[in-house]
Amino acid sequence: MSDDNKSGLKRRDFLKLLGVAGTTAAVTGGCSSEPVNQLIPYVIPPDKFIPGIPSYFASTCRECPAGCGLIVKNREGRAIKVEGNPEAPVNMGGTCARGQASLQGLYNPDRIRSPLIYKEETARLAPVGWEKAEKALSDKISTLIEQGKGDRIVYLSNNVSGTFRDLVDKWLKATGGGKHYSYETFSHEPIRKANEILYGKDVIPSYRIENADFVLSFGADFLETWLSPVNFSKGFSKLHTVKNDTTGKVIQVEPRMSVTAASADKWVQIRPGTEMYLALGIANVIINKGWAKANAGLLAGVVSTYTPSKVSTITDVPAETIVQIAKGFSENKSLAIGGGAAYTGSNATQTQVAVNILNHIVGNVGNTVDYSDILMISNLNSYQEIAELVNKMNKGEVEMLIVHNTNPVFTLPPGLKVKEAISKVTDVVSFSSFMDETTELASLIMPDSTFLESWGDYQPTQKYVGIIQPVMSPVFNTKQTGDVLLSVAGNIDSAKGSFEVDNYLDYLKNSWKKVARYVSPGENFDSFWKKTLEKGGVTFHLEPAQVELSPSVMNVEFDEAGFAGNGDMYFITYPSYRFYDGSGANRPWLQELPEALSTSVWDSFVEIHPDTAKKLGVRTGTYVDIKTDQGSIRTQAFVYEGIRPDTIAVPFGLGHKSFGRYAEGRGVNPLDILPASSDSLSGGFTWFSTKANISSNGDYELLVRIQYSETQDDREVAQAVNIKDLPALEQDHEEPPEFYHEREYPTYRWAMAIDLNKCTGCGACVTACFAENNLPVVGKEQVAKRREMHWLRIERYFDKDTEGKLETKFLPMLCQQCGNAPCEPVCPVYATYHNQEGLNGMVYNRCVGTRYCSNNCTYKVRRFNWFTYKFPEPLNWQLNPDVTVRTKGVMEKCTFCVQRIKYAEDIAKDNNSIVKDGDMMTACQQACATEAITFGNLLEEGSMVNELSKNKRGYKVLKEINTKPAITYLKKVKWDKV
Amino acid sequence: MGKLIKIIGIPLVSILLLLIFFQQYNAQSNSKGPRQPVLFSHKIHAGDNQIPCEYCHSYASISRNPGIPSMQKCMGCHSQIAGRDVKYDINGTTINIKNEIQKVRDYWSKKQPIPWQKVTAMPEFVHFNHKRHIKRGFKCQTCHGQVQEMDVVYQAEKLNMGFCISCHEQNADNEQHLTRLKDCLTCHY
Repeated sequence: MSDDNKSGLKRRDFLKLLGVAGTTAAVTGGCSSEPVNQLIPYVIPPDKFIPGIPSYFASTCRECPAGCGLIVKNREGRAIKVEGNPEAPVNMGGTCARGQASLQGLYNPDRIRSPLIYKEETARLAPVGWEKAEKALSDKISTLIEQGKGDRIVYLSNNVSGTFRDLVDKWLKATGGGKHYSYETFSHEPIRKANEILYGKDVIPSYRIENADFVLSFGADFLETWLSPVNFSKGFSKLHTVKNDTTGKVIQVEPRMSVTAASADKWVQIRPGTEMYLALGIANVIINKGWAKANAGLLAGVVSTYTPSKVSTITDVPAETIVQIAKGFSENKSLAIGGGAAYTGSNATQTQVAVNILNHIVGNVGNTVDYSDILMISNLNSYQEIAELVNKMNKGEVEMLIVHNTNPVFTLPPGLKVKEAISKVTDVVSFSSFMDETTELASLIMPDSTFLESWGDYQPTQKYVGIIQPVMSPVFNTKQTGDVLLSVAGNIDSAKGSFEVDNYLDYLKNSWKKVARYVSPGENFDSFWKKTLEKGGVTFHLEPAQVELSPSVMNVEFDEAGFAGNGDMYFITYPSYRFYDGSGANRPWLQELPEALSTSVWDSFVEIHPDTAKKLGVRTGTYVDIKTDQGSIRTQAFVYEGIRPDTIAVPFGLGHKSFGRYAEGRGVNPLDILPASSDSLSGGFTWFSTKANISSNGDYELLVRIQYSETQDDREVAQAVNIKDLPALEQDHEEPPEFYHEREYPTYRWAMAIDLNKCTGCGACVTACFAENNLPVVGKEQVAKRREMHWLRIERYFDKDTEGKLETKFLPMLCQQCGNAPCEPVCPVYATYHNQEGLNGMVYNRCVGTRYCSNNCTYKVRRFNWFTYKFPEPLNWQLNPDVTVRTKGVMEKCTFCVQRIKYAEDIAKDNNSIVKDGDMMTACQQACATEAITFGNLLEEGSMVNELSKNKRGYKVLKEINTKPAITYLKKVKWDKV
Repeated sequence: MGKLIKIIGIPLVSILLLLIFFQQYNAQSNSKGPRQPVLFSHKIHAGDNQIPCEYCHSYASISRNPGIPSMQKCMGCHSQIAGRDVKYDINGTTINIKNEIQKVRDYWSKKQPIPWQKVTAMPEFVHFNHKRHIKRGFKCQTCHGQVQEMDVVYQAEKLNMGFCISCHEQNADNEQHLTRLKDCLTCHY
């Protein structure tokens, strides 16, 4: 023993003691529950708001021209969730991912927060008050009017209809006769032109997929972006309902497999640009075999030379298939549609004429093609007209350009030199809510309130006008453009008298007084207005329109599609169902929503066939250079069989140079390498007009995806049944004997049924889940480390069909709420357990983050919070107050929207009842436009989910593990032949 | 000697400190509420004048949130009642009632809310529904204490899980009901 021991307390021991004492003090001190928050009362309480109880407002979506009806949920003055309005005939309660993500437009942290004006001194944009900004604009306009140049004002907007269109026209008239252009990136001019040629009607009709049971689509991505995707999804749902052992059929003809083709019953891989010949060939068969129902008349002559064998050589489609399609098309209630933006080539109009011929000869006009209820995007300016406008700007003939809700610099081909043209305009004014490539060029920016903060109306089709009403007060110092136009007019002497009102709401009401007189004559306007606001819009009665074949169809020359450039690959650019025309790129939910087929997130990619990839020496993830005469882009390869070997494809919508933190510098804009050419007949932009060369220097990086496996390795996760086997099919109800006692469910057993024959992989449910359950967005780097937080993912599997062709199956995978859950027994702290309602509970404040549960989960649906993820202000305003925001170190997973269940149970208890079928929906179910998801109480006799769980197509995923899932999947139905 | 201190001293000090902590944690909340911007007395309102709780906290029986009265509601009475010009002892602080009411009127004339200090804090990750409990017939006092006797309101109960569960246990109708009432997902989601 040394002397040290005698000296009593050693320094080390003293420090140790101090350490323990300090820690204990910290623990006790840290846990004090001193109240720190303030409670701020209302000064004057709003009439109809009760804290804790949501209010709902009907409105109309403006994320794309389809104009779906919305119901927006508001809690304590903040919009927190978007749902489809069941009363709106456009979407009948459905939504898409973009509609769900409109909230992230509203709360986008990169919104322009106040008016901005260009200051010469500092050479930058500086914030300015609304009065000054409005005065600046009215002064400029007054000067123009004085100089007699009022007619040199151009108002360039996206598709507007209804009252706002009327206001803009009147306003331009009052300010000297400027011109209003409305322009959409995907404006479908060939459809209009073809209808003009065939029937003398320059319109886009309504297509009634719900009335058809055989849809033949020539490249129209009707489940993604084409015309009115949610409406078509509803129709697809009806068509794909399995009834009496049969179901409708969708044939998708296109060179690459779009998400629509993946959901179709057959994907016909046609040689690019030859869709027109196939349509003519089918028409030829129908007429020659005497299957035509309508009097083909002139048309017989038009199609006579297109025999199946000749068409087969041109299109790569076997003659037998052509005859089969012709048979199916003429025997069933059919519909032919065509011309998604991706395949608008130089002969786009002729292709549409051929499609129209098909509809005509089997008598679809008036049945599945409705020329009375025309789409209002028929009023758009064509690409050609916009190109002429750019020309005018270049020549200095435009003094003032007002840009509203459109981004021409991003969405027009660089060859048009629109950026240079805009810089030649003296005054560029932007009403954009976001800083983007076009708004950057403006000298005066007067940020518009988003549609969720504004008054307005929107007419998607002839039959329906939807109301747009503010669902909350503006988030930032923005003002809706209608109000700005009116107050600017009020500042200009010559325009003052043109308007009776000084604000847009009054203007709107005046315009709706006319509607009221027409729709419900004699009714008091205030009560009509209130009713309309509650319903979300009005539906008009239309007389069926008659169309007559015009002889001009004889003059159509069915030219072959021309392709510019001397590359050896056809180059396809298709509109992304996530970003549409690029306007969705600044919504983090959409960035993190995996593209259905590649499951890629946060970036662009180029689709390449394995054979081509092999020749080029690339694999998925390798960087590929794509070169055309216009330039080149570089992006990562996604190698799969869903594209022809002679074709490559890049989705449109990314590659922004300016559009906020989530969009900037992400991916590539394929428009950069497209020639500025148009279809000569319709004046529409030709998205499919060039060939490209591809090369690669072998640089490789992981293509960040959600799912890296392509096949299901015989595990039969996503199952299908051949339609021939349907009559004899029976569900396997056999359960292995139970060692422990069976669980008892006294009142509820919450359960779900998912019909795989209806799921289109669109991702609306995924986005709705993000919105409802406060899921964080983790970013590309974290997804690459498999740390995504999706509670619900769409699994995508590629299989081979009987002919050896690619077959895609989508399967929404979420917590199966197992009756025999593998996650439960391994939790050391009892944080996850099974409750008496059949829910697999997850108690966040009990979880210590061992991740054993995730490790043991059969379905890999549990997610771990590796960080406390941030919701940058004001994105956090959207958070659902009924759902805990999880922090670092906690496990989470799908709860079957337990907060909605609790809410419904609470209401039911008030009425001394229990929750009945239809009282509540989960967020994913409510969002699903194809009604693939059904949720309810399994114990309730006659409930939808009870019925469907007994359906003969029903099966449980990985049943052999005996997890007893609460989710019954209904097998997809396969067709052997067309 | 040094070893002895190590063996006995470290655990002893730790246990002592932990004991102090747990005693504090489990003790009834201290009876001092936060100082409010207006020295408002619940005793005068709910006790002396017998104003029902739900007159001011008007959403308690229809929503999960009870709500706090709007300024308009305060002024509904106090535009008429200016208060007596008398001294009043509120937990050891002497105030003048009239002066305090004048503060409320000043806020109102500026159309400003009173930034009340929150008194009752729920533990985190818990969803509590006022409506369900009021409809079942519970008195506000069950959780909030004898508010009508408090000049300055303080948190009477810790509102920790033991408090909730013991009450749920006592009030279950039957075994099945008890299972429901003790289910984690009843409050935690």
